This record gives sequence, C-alpha cells and structure tokens, in this order.
Amino acid sequence: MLLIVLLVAIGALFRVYWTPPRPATEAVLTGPQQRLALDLNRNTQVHIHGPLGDSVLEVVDGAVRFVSSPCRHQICVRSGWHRSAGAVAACVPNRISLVLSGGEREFDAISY
Amino acid sequence: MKQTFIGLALCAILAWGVWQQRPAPTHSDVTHRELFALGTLIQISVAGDIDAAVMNQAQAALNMLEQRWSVLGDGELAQLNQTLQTQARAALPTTLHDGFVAARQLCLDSDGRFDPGVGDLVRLWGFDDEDHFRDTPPPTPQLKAALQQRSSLCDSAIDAQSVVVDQPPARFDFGASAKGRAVDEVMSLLRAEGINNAIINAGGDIKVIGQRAQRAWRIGIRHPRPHDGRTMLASLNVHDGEAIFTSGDYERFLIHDGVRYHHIIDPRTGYPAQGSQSATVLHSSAERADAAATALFVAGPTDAASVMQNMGVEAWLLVDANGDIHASDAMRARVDDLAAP
Repeated sequence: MLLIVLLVAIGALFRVYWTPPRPATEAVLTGPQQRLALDLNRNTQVHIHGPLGDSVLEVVDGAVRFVSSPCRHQICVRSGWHRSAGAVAACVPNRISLVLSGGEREFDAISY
Repeated sequence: MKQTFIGLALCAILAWGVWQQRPAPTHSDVTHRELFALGTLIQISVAGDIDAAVMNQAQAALNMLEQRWSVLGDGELAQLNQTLQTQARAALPTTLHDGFVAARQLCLDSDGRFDPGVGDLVRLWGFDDEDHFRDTPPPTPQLKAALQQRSSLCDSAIDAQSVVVDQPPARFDFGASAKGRAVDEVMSLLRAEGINNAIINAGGDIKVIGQRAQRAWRIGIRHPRPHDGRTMLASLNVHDGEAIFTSGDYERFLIHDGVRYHHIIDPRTGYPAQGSQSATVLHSSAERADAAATALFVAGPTDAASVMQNMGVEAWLLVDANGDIHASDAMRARVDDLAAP
C-alpha cells in the first residue's frame, strides 16, 4: 500500500511540475491606425502599416515573428519567434506592438 | 479494510499537498496596457481593472520624462548638452538636478563603470538614435579623440543651479539610469492612485507593487544565448517594491566582419564592454538597478562582486563572455532553475 501511495504521489508531482504551460493561442498586433487579432493556429503572413512603412509578420505553427520591418536596428526581427502567452515584442520606431495572449502564462514578465 | 482506508487518506493528504504547491495559473485576473515611451514598449499590468484616467496620467508622465531626459530634440537635457558643446558650465534645471546628483553618486559608487559622460561615444557608435545607425564601427582615431576629450560625470561638479565639466565639448546620456528613474516615478504615481498590485515592464526592465492574486509576481530572466529550447536563464518571485533590471549584448548591436559590437559602451575604453553577455540586478530602487546592471555588465566577472558591493546591490547575476554564470549568494537564494553554463 505504501508503494502505491508513493507511486501516486510521484505521478502527481510529475504531472504538476513537468507539464509545460499551454502556449499562447492568439496575438494582438497594434499599429498607429490598425489593430489585428492573429489566430496562432492559422499560418499566415500580415502587413501592418506604421510611420516608417510596412512591418511584416508571419504566423507558423503556433508561433509569430517579425519577418521584416523598416527600422534600422532590427531589434524586433532579431527577437525571433514568440509563442509564450504574455510575450511582448515591438518595432518601436515603427510604433508596432505585438502581444501574445490565451494559453497559460508561465511568467508575469520577462527581464531582458 | 483499515489499511485501505489509511492508504486512501494518505493519498488524499498528498494530493492536497501537491495541489497547494502547484504554481498558480495565470488567467484574466490581470489587465494589461501597452504604450510607447522612453524609446521602448512599456507594459503596465494591474491585478484587476485599469482605470483609463490612471493610464492617461502614466502616459503623460512618461512622455514628460522622455522629453526631459532625451539626448535628442529640445528637452532640458538636450539643451544642457548643447551648452556643454562650447562651455564648461551649463545651467542645471531643477527638473534634472536630482537625477544628475543621483547619477553622479552611482558613477562614483561604480568607479566609473556606469557613467553618463559617455554621450559622445554612444553617439559616435550610433546607438543613441535610429537616424545615427551605422553598420561599421567608428574609425579608431575618432574614437580615441572622443575618449580623450570626454568629461566623466564622476568628475563634474554639481550645485543647485549648474553643472561644471572638465572641458567642453561634453555630452551626457542617461540611457542607463533615466528609464529606471522613470519606472520609479510611474510606480509612485500608481501607488498614489490607489493601485496596490501592479507590474511595470519597460522593455524588459521591471518593477512591481504588491502581488498577483495571492501569489508573488513571477519573473523570468532571459537567457542571453537561448539553446536547446532553453530560453530562460532563471526565474524568481519578485516582491512589493522590488525592481529587476537586465543589460545584455543581444538586442542592440551591429555586426562587422563577423564581430558583434553591442550598445553597452565601456566608459574607460570607448568600445563595447568585453567580458559579459548579460547582467541582472535586483534592488528596491529601479534607478539604482538600472545603473547597476550596466555597471555589472561593464565590470565583468573579475570585478563584479566588489562593484556590486560598492553600489549597495546584494542580489546580482552575471553571464560572462564564455557563458559561465556568476551570482551573489543573495541572488542564488532567490532564483529557481538557474541554468547550467
């Protein structure tokens, strides 16, 4: 009986601590004049207009990234793929922000 | 029968214990708002609803602080810098006075690792503005000249009305402390408006008030070199009034001939600081955390402990250029899942 109890406890601990948080399911892309809701389960490519021109983003297999943006330092493009709920990214010079939601947030914020 | 009952009871107790330890899931109990200010995307998250009027106040305060501390445009700092291009003494507006005094002390505490007197060097590297972007390092003679003629804030004199530098031209850039100062001010504003549970995330630099629905705010620290699916260096609970700031070489940089030149300039050499990939600091003052993260990055592993001690920072974490992790005992006691090198 003790063995069964231990196995149940280990199983429960494994279930609780080794289950990854559910990834984001949607992203909101906001520009000075547009607000687009992206379904992260639907592969797509979108253009959004900012003061410097068009920023291009793509959704592939539950993740989203800036493909290109008319800013010079390319920080948004370098930030790569985003799939976690609560992740934020932006092209600041082009005033475009990306916020992922849905799913379950592992962290309230990321320090970077 | 009795054994079965005892067994089931133990199972129930264990299950209850496990459930109590389970990390609380995050749902829609927090409201998020994003705004652009201080050259970054700022996210303010409040446990509960956000009052639109308070957000408008926060936006207005951030816009004012950006204007005040920007090296560009015609704000107070930009005008002061303009004067210092030709004169050793410039009038110091009352709105800048406390920030200058605090930054000078931080400069001294860090033994010059944090020094707003790098303004001309940062400008030469093109990291101060989108329009100054360059894809090659500045010519060495220009860098040497700028390094030789620069005035450190450590050596400048500040009184109630003015700041006096060693020699003109001089240019101050508070990019490594003004954001922290702004975060402190916005958090004070939120508290004054009765918000007791909130988090402000200024482009990855964070300060919190209170907690989130019966648990502490949970913060991840980005790994400077994500690999094998590992994107976080560590994670920790951050408590009321604490700020966590990270400086890294992975966001703003140029690559020339295969060499990465990042934006954290060592005031002593004029070149991007060597020896670190990322530096994270935990402190109650966001302004101090901001400056200390830069100083820690510049100090590198050899001087990290002494510089942090002099700056009054107990909890710090550094990833050196080889990817090795250095952390104070206070930080090790706070973080979970600290990545292996």
